[in-house]
Amino acid sequence: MAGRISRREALKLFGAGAVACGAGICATSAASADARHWHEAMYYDKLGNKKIRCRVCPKECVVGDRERGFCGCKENHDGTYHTLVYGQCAALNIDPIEKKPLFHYLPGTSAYSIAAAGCNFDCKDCQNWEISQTRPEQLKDTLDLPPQQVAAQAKRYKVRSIAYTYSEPVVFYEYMFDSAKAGRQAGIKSIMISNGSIRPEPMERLLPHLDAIKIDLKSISPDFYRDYCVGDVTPVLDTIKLVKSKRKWLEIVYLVVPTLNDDPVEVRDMCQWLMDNVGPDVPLHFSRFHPAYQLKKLPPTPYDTLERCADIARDVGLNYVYLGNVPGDEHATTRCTGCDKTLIRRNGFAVVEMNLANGGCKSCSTKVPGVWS
Amino acid sequence: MDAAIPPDRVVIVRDPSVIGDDGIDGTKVADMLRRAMSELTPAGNEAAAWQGLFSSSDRVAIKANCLAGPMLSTHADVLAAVHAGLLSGDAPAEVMVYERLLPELEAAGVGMVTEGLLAGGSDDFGYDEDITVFGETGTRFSKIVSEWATAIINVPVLKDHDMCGLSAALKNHFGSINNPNKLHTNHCSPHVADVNACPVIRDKHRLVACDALQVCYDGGPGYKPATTVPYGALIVATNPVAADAVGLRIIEDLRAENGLTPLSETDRYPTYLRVAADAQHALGTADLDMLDIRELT
Repeated sequence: MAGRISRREALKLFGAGAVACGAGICATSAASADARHWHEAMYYDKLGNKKIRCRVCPKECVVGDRERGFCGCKENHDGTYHTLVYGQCAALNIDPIEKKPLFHYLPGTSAYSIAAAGCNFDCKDCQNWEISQTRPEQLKDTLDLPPQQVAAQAKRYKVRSIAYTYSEPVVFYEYMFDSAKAGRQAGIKSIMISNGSIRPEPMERLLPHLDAIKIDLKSISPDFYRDYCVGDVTPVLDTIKLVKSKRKWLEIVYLVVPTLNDDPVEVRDMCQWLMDNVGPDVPLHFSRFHPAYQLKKLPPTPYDTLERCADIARDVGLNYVYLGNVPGDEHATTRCTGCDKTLIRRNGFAVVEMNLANGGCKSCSTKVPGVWS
Repeated sequence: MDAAIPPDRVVIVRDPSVIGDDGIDGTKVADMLRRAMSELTPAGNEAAAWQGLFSSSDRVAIKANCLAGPMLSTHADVLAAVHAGLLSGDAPAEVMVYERLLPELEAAGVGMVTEGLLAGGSDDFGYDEDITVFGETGTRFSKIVSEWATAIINVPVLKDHDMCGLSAALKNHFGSINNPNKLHTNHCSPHVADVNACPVIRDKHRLVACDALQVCYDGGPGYKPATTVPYGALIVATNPVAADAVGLRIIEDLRAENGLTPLSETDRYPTYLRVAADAQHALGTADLDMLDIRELT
């Protein structure tokens, strides 16, 4: 008879390599591929011939029977679309909120941070590709952590918020949605760290359960989104406007990738779009690129480039401009727009000085946009 | 020795009687493959074909295609015939049929084919830690192909694909990587060609034995009974682009016979074939006029 090679035997076939494989990213066919962990997806249409159309993100994947959408974490079985990552936590940390980064939202607090496998983009510079650009069954040590436990654990660790982060929460929408509801019932806030590529209907339904959103605006250029993210900029811009219109706290990150999205004209266009559509008080973080995933041949973003971007943003009129992934605290400090005194000084992800009172500057009482308590 | 097999030669061996009331006739399948392998070599020598392609030191990975379940997967009899052919030459050290998941092989009925033929799933073996990039595509390969195998035989199913028109040899290697879901944009082009052009595939690929015993000419890659017909053929070649070009012709013929729009007039024509043949990829020719197509009945 033929030999069926189990996972254990597969590792043995590599001899000494099995040790390294077992300790690394060697796949498991447990948790997420297991039908016990399937959960019917929200937002999809049943088409004929057992096909479905996913309606969570703008890709609107049409998925045949036994196939998955672009995200890789939802699968069609006999015309019913299932998420394979509901309650399947692929990464878990308690992070300072500044790491997200959110600088104007409950500074100095911690967020119970979770992720599941998958993403609706394929950014060539992805910093978390090990979990975002993989199918759930390929991940080792996925934690079975249903929404009620997420909320209970967050409460136990006395954090102020749950963060849906690292990969792309749009693709684990159902898990995020139920965790945010459970968190709200337990008195824990929820923050979404996202690429913003989500359809309006699911976002509008989710927003009442969220308290803050950070969106990665990769570029203002449709070509960049198409060529380097396998995505589309327009839905991202629409999401930013939607979040603003619903008066949820919003911050923007722009990862500056050398030669690809650092052109001063493009940066100015992006900043101007924010000014025109979100206003001068949205915090904008220019983040430094580090070579990763499919863009290992590019250098890290020069500091001068980041400074130039910040100068452009301030010149356009944005009030709160920060630099991320750079040493020193000068560009991570929040200053009063009234008297220019230091309001919040940060060292790394730690808040080391805070001069706010009743949401305003201690010195001149100028109000500072944000959520402070 | 493998240079003795002309790279532009494609053998189609067809025997409609191979599918009977009781299913596939394994003896006939084995005979069809033997004839095809003989025809592949200028000398008409089956043993020389196998010996020219594989040595006793090889570990041979056979890529089946079992995504669609038991009704439209690589048939166990085809895999058994390939395995028997390998053993008739300089028997390789080890032979393994693989898919993304071992349960996929088992569900398709090819998890336990014949004595000495191993069965493995990429998700059990794991994927490369590092990303391989070629052209516009970045991916991680199954360790079955990148570490375990020294040679690869591609045993796909010939079928239509609702996103890229054709699923045969080149497309089959989407089952050798970790992120096929990311690579279906733009009708899978240039991603199918890119994946096959990566050295881990290109340098180990030796043979295509495409299972066209049944062919799905519309509505694939899942099983669609209304458009899946018994065809009773194997397509055998060393060049995957050539094999796919011939497979595409068969699908177009079946579509014409059944009154369907030609793929060439739809928006899902498999343009990745042309990309695979371009100078950057150089995987072979898709021009039927340039191929030495041998049809055996």
